[in-house]
Amino acid sequence: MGRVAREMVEHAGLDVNALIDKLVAAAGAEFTTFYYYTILRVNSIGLDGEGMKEIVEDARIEDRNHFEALVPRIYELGGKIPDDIRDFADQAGCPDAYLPDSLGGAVGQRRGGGRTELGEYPASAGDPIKDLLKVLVEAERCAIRTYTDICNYTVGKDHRTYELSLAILNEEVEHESWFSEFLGEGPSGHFRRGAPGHSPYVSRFMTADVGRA
Amino acid sequence: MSWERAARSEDVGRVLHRVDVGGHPMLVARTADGDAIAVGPICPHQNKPMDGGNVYGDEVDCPNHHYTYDARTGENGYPKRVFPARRAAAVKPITAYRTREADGWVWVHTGSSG
Repeated sequence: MGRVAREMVEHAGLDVNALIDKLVAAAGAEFTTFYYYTILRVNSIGLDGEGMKEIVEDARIEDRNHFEALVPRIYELGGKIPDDIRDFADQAGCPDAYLPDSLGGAVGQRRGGGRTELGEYPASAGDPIKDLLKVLVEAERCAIRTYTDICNYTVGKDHRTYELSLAILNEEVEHESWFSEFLGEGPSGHFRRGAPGHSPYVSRFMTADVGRA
Repeated sequence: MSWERAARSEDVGRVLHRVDVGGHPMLVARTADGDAIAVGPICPHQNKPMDGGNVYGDEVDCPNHHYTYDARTGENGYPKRVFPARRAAAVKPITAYRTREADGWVWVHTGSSG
C-alpha cells in the first residue's frame, strides 16, 4: 500500500474504502467482460460477423488492459481483489455479456420473444449479428456509466485514479461508437486500432507490461 | 394508499435521493424531461440500496452494478433487453410509485404504479 498516497486521498475528503469498492467492481467487470467477449468474438461468424471479429478483439484486449491497469491502483490504495474469483465475478460492476439466444442454439430454434413460468421476456431481433452487437454496445454503455461515476467521484480529489479512469473512459467511449456504428446509429468517427488492443489512452498506465511501447 | 408529500420540488434533481413517505423509504429524482419519479430504494439484483444512483433519460441506473429500470414502471431495461430469454425472465423489477407535483412539492401515491 502507498501510505501517503492513501492519506492524500483521505485528506481530500474521499471515502477511500468506497472508492476501492468502485475500483474492484470496475476491475471485475473488465475481467468478466474479457471472458464473455472471448465467446462473443468466436461467435462473430459468417459474412457479417467476420467484419466484426477484429473490432470485438480490439475491445476484448483493451478491456483486459483496463483490468491490468486498475489492479495496481486498488493495491496502492490499500485494497485487494477477492481471493475467490467467484466473489470477484459477483462483485463485477456490470452485468454478464451473455451470448444471445439467436447465437446460442440451432438456427431458428430460439429466436423471438415468449413466455416462461417466470413471465414475459423480450423479443430478440432474430438477427444473430444484430443481437450480438446489442450485447456489445450495452456492455460498453455500462462501462461508460461506470467510469463516468468514478471520474465524478474522484475529480479534484484523487488525481491518479481520476486520470486512470478518464483514460479508460476514453477507450470505452470509442468502443461504444464502433459497435453503435454497426447498428446503424451513425458513423463512429474512428478507425480501428493500428494493432490489436493497442489501448492508446490506457497503455501509459500499464507500466509493468513488458514489451509495450 | 394516498397521495403524500415526498420532497420539496427544489430538492429533487437527477440523482436518487432518499426520503421517507409515511414510513415507506423511497428514492426520488427527475427524468431528463424533468418529471419527478419515485422508486423503491432496493435494487433486487443483489438487494442493495440504490442511493446516489443517476437517472439517465427515463431509466434509473443502480450505482452498484448498473442495472437500469424504467423510472415510471420499474421494469428492468438493462440487462433484460439483451439477456438470453431464460435469464431475462428472472430479472426482477423495482417498485415504482405514481408522482405528481403541486404547491412546490413532489407528491407520491403510496400504492405502486407497477
